Amino acid sequence: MTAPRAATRRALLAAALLLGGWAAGAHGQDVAAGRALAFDRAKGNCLACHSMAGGDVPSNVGPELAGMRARFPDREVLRAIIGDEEARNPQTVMPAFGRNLILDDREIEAVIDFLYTL
Amino acid sequence: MRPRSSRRARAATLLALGAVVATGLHPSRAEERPDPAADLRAFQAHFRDRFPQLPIAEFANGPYAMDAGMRQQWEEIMQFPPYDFAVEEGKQAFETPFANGKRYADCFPEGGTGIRQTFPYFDTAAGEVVTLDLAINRCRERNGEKPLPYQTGLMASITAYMAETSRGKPFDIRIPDDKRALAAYEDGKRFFYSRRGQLNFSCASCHVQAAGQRLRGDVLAPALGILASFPIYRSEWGSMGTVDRRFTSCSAQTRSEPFAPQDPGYRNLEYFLSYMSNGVPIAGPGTRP
Amino acid sequence: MRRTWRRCALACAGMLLLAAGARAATEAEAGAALRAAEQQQAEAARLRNRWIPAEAALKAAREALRTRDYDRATELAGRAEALARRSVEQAREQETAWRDAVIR
Repeated sequence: MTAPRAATRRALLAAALLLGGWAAGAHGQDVAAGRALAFDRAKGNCLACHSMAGGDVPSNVGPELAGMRARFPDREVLRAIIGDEEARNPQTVMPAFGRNLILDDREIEAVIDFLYTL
Repeated sequence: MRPRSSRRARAATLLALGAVVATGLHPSRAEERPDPAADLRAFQAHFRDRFPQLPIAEFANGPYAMDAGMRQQWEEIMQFPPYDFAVEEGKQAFETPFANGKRYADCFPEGGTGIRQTFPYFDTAAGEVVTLDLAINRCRERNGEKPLPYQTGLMASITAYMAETSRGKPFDIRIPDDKRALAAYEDGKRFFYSRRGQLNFSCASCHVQAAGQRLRGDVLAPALGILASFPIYRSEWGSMGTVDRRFTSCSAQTRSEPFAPQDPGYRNLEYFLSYMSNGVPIAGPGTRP
Repeated sequence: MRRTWRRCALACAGMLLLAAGARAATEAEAGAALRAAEQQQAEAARLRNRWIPAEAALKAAREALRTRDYDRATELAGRAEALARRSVEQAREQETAWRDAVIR
C-alpha cells in the first residue's frame, strides 16, 4: 500500500510547484518572457518606438528605456503607463497595452520585470 | 488664450448655429464650423515651425527629406528609379485606345496631362469627392472597359504616368462653397485625427506628433505633402502601390479593419490631406523604403 | 496521517480544476458567447471601427464551434466580445476627443 501513497505525494508536489510558479512567478523566467514580449512585433513591440540595451534599432518616438528602476521606483506608475498612458496624457502616442487588451495582466508584469533590468 | 473679440465672434457663430443644432446635428462643439483655409494655415505653420530648415517643396520627399543618411540611400536608388517600368507601362496604357476607339485623354481636361495636382476634387453635380484613381476607373467604365483593381498593378502604372506629367506643379485642391464639400472635408479631417484600431493610433499620432522620428529603422513621414509622391514603389512591398494601398496598410498597422479601396471615408481623407498640402509640388511617382 | 495527505491532495486538485475553469462548456454556452460577441462586433461595424484582432477571434470562435470544441469557442468568443466592446468604446470616445488633437 505504499505505492499509491508515494504517487499521491508526487502529485501533491507537482500541484504545489504548479500553483507556486503560477502565483509568484519564477523571476528569471518572467524577465526572459518580458524581454521576448518587449521585442515581439505582435505583442509589446517596445522596440518600435523606444531604443534600449540589446535592441539595436534607433527608434526614438518614445524616450530611451534605461535606468528604469531609478526613474520609476514605484511599480504602480510603470504599470499605469503601460496599461493606459492615455489616461495620464490624452495626446500620448503610446498604445494602451492593458486597456486595449494587447497584453494581459501577467504579460504586463513580465514586461515590467524585464524593464527593471534596464 | 484667445482674444476676447474672437470669443465674441465665436459666441455669435454659436447663436447662428443654434438652428442647426436644434435640427439634430451633432451638438458637441457646434461652434467649430469648418474653416479649411484657417486649418491649412495652422497645419502648414506647424510643420514650418517643426522643420524650419525645410523648404515646403521638400515635404514631397517625406522621410528622405528628414535625414541625411536616408537621403544618400535615396540618391543611390534614384540612379535606376524602381518605378520607371510603371511609368512606361502607364504611358502605353494611357495612349492605347479603348475597344470603342476613345482614350483616357478624352475623359480629362488638358488631355489628362499635367493635372494630377488638381485631384481629388469635389464633384458638385454628384456631391462627392473624386480621386484620380476613381476618375480613371469611371472613364474606363463609361467606355465599356472593366474597372481596374485599385491598390497596385495597372492602376498604379497609369497614375504614375499621370503624376510624372505633373511633376513640380503644386497641389491645387479647391473646396467649393458647398455644404456637402465642407462636410466631406470635415469627415476627412475627423478621420485623420481619430484614434482607431487596437493600437489606438490616429493618422496624426504618427504623421504629425511623431513625424520625422524613427520607428525601428523607418523615419515617419510628415503628413504635409505625404501624398505628393504617389503612387510609390515601396521596397517593403516590392512593388508599386497607390494611395488606397497606403491607406489600407496604415489601417491594418493600427489593427483596424481597413475600408474598401475608394470608400468615401478614404476619399474624404485624401481630400483633406491633399488640401492641407496645397503648395507642395507633385513629385510622383516616388520611392519609399 | 495518510488520510490527511489524501484530503489535501483532493483539495489541491479541486483548486487546480477550479483555477483552470475546467468544467467543459456546453454547445449552448458557446453559442450564447458567440452571439454576444457578434452583437458587439455588429455595433463596431455600424460605427465603422472594427478591430482586426476582434474579427480574428470571432472567426476562430466560429471555427471552434463548428468543430465542436466548445471550451475553445467560448474562450475565443469571450475575447472577441471584450475586444469588440473596447472598439465600440473607442469609437464613441473619439466622436468628440479627436478635436483635441487638431493642429490649431
